[in-house]
Amino acid sequence: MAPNLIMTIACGVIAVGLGVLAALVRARRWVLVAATLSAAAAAGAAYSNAFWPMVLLGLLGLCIAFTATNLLDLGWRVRTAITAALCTLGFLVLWPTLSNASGGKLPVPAYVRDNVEFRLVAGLDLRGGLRLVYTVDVDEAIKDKRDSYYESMRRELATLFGLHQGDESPSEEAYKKLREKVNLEAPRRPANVIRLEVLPGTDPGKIDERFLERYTGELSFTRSPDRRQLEFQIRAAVQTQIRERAVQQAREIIHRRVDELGLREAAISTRDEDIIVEVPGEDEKSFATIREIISQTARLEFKLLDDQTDFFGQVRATAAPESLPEGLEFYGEVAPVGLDASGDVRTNQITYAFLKKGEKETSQEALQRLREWVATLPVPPDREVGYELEYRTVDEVTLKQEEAGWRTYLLKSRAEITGDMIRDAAAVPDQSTGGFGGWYVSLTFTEQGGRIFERITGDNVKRRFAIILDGRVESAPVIQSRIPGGHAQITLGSPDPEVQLRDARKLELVLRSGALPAPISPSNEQRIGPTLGRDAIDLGIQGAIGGSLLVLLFMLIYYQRAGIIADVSVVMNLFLQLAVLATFGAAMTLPGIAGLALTIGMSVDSNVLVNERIREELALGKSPRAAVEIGYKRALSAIIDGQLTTIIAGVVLAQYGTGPLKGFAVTLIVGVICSIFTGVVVSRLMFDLWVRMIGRQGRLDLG
Amino acid sequence: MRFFASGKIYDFMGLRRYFFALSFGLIAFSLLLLLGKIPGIQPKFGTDFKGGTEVEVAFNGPVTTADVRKAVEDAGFDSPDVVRVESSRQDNHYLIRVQEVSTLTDEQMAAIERALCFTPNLPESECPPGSHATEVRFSPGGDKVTARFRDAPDLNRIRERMVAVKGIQLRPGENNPFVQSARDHKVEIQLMSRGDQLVAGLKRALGAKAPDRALRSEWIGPRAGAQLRDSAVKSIAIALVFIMAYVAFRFDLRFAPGGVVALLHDALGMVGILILLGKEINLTIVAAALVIVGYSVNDTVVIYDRVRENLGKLRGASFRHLINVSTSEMLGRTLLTNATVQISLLAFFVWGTGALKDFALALTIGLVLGTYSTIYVALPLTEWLDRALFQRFGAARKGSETKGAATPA
Repeated sequence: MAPNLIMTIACGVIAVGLGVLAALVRARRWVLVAATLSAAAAAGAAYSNAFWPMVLLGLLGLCIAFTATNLLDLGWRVRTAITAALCTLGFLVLWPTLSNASGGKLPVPAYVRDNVEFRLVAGLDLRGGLRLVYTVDVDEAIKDKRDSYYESMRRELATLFGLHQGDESPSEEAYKKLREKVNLEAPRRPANVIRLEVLPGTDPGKIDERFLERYTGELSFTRSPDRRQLEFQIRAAVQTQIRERAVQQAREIIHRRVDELGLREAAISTRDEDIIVEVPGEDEKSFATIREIISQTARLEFKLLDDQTDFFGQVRATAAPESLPEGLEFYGEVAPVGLDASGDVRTNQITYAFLKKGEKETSQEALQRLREWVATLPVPPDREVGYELEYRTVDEVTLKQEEAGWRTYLLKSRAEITGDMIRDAAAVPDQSTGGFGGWYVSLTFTEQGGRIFERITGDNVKRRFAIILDGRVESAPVIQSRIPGGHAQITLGSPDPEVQLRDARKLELVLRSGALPAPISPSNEQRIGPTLGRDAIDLGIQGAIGGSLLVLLFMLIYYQRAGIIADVSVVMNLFLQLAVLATFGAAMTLPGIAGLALTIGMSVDSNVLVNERIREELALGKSPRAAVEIGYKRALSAIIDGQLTTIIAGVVLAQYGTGPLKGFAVTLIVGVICSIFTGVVVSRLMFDLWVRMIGRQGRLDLG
Repeated sequence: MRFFASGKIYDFMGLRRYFFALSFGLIAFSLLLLLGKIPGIQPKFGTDFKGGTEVEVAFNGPVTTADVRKAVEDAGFDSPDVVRVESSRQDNHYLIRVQEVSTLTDEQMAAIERALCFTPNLPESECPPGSHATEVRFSPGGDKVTARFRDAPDLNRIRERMVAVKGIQLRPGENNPFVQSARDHKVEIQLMSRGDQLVAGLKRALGAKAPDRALRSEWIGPRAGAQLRDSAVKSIAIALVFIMAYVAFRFDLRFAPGGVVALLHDALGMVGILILLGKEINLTIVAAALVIVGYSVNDTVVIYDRVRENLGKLRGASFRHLINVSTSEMLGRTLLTNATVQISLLAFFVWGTGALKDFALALTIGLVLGTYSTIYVALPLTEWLDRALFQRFGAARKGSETKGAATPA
């Protein structure tokens, strides 16, 4: 029987039991009815395979039922129920982790293992691995941008002096003549400056306002009194923008590469201009691959589509259904295939394959499956299959998307244009729509690239071409007309301007990655050997366990019976802390373990404050019940103030600290918050129970 | 079990002048130590602050520190730091640190620039036309050189010329140097990192005893080091400001400076003592300092809380008496909490190695200072502030002090 059915029956039985109880007992009937409803809802959740709703609703039902009992007062019952529920949740979260840590001695049902996704993983310093820090070379990015202004200015000047006409790139001849009239210089340093000198014999008035206006949006300039010397400088706002884009681009590229390698566990994060890659493991060879791949330049290619051949249509007609990979479907589309004699667009009905990503597989694994299948197909010579990742919008309002699967294109194998022929790309708002949304991507080619692009676009009007980055199709736009002059625009398919903006940004990033390789340089590298890691983990855990045991023992000796209360709350604190860390997906690092041990020591503080206060109150002759009451009330402000200031220090550390410090800070914050809960709420429950048990005349013994 | 009889009041404030002087002496001395102004004792900053290369190696056979040092020096490193790591698992476990900030010296950079024909006015016999680099850049870690050329470069020639440069080694592999960008003929040349060179040097000198690989190798560029240091200082400063604001908000203004001075005293004093013990100041110590900041303020605030409570209870008592009463009442708690935290650290002290042990040591020192500073830095300062403020402005309180009868509990 399926486990979710077992859970449905279990919840159902509880619901029926509570319902019967509600029918029989008159007192607190409505509370029991509420508990019954909650349990029934849990059964429904279990049936529809909603794990966490089932757990929460089930616990809620049990909590409500518990408050209907006669134990102590209502407040105590509510707090006890919440504490018990939290403990159960904590255990559930930690169950798979504990099972792994005990080497399978603690069994965990497959149902729980599959549904509880939280795992407490060991950090890099414990497992061994590689930590790479790359710094984005912002100066380089600014210089690249400056160089593209320089090119544009040079061309503009050639036109201005009548050495050149039209949209095409000026010839070397024209530039040579230009050098006799003006001296345009892009100095090595500073990298954000262009100098223009009008040579003697040339009228400086030629450099008119119209010329300058073209650049003043992004460049500021100073002019010498005789108007012969000009110095342009990239504006600060533009530089900031370049910086942000460079960092984003570099991060995106590294992300894509690491993904491509299929490293599920690699973590990538950014901090200012640093990009940090952490790869656990100990395989020296794979580290070398990672280093190499990250430092490679992006490979951007433009390839023409072959929409004339309905290759996948033939595959669909001939292939046996069982030979198709799981989740593969065929779709038809109408593709433009050039112009006919009268200038109208010809179209062709073609088929493409789409592989839906499985529930449990990454998109990379799905691509691998699709590739393996395509390798068995008789792809025509000089043709190849390209793959594009398709997304599906899961939320219409926020436009949140999720990876759906991969579709195919039939491409001509020859790469017509490569990344080094592209100079720059930018997402630009479409002015023709009157400013109401609309975005396109503007593309600038190098001189050589512009010439090739002009020829290709001329020969392939109304055909599609694919933009491919690192072997993946990113976009397949239709060529609308012959494009001369080295400038192209790629308009985007979606009618929604929001989606257009997002797609434009994405494509801009892709094109720029090929054109302006993300200027990154490694600035820090740490390799942590696994031997040291295993040593360290043993010692760290030994230390933490040893320290905790000593603290527990010490409390027991000092407070005797009240020491048990303190010990229970300390152990529970540790337990909750681990559970919270697991839900955060935090990695346990060595400083983290030290932080854990430290918070154990400090969590005792709440108990100490309360116990000392109760002792004082008892010494003043108060009854046990009153002493506990006042003890907790008076100690609360000291506990809260003390712990809050610790949290302040922790938050600052988490905000400004790096790597290991951050892990430590998070552990500290979580630990302190948990210790307030266990020290103030949980221990109080036990004290209240104790006081009730010994009665009015009994003696409260705090050692 | 009890450490102190309840109800007994100790005269802490009677000795405050001596301890106050001692504390300020400690702050001043630590500050001077940290700035390296005390002759004979220079603070040792870790690789994470200074930049440099650190390699941890486990040798296969017995070696002495002197052997290792000599091997490292022979590999071309100046004044290496060789520390034997005490470890229960591996006998010949060493930490080697080379202090050079960049792996390329100015001479080496000049030699590389010359090899790439970037240096102006080289004879044509050495650099034929077309072989001149237009730009040469070095990565901060010194393991990568990038050069731009006007024309397509001859990679074999570059390789040959680079190999001839003294003191550098090219990272082995087919693809080195390679054209990073054909658009502007950008060539990348990868050099052996300092860690690679160091391990190779050990292998050469010590043969089979040296391992093939380091347990851990780490290098930090000088810029990253400076950033790390700045962020550490910044985080402590920001934490102080927030804590001061919190104390001022929860108690009142005269309590805040005492708490913050106590914090500074603890953090600085801890670092000072560690420098005096010859320990290295690194990120771990900064983390410890921040924990101490948190702990010390906790300790201070708990006693402040009692002082605030007693202010209402013991109307008319002098502030000095108030402090004595409050501190005495809390003495049990103070010592107990301190003891439990110390106990939880004890295990790390016994079993920990390297960084973990230093961390535990730093915390132990800090905890003692934190408890002490509450009584002899924070409270006396608050009392002094109270006196300074109320003697001038607070006639009302003074009046009640003479009228009301002190009722010590």
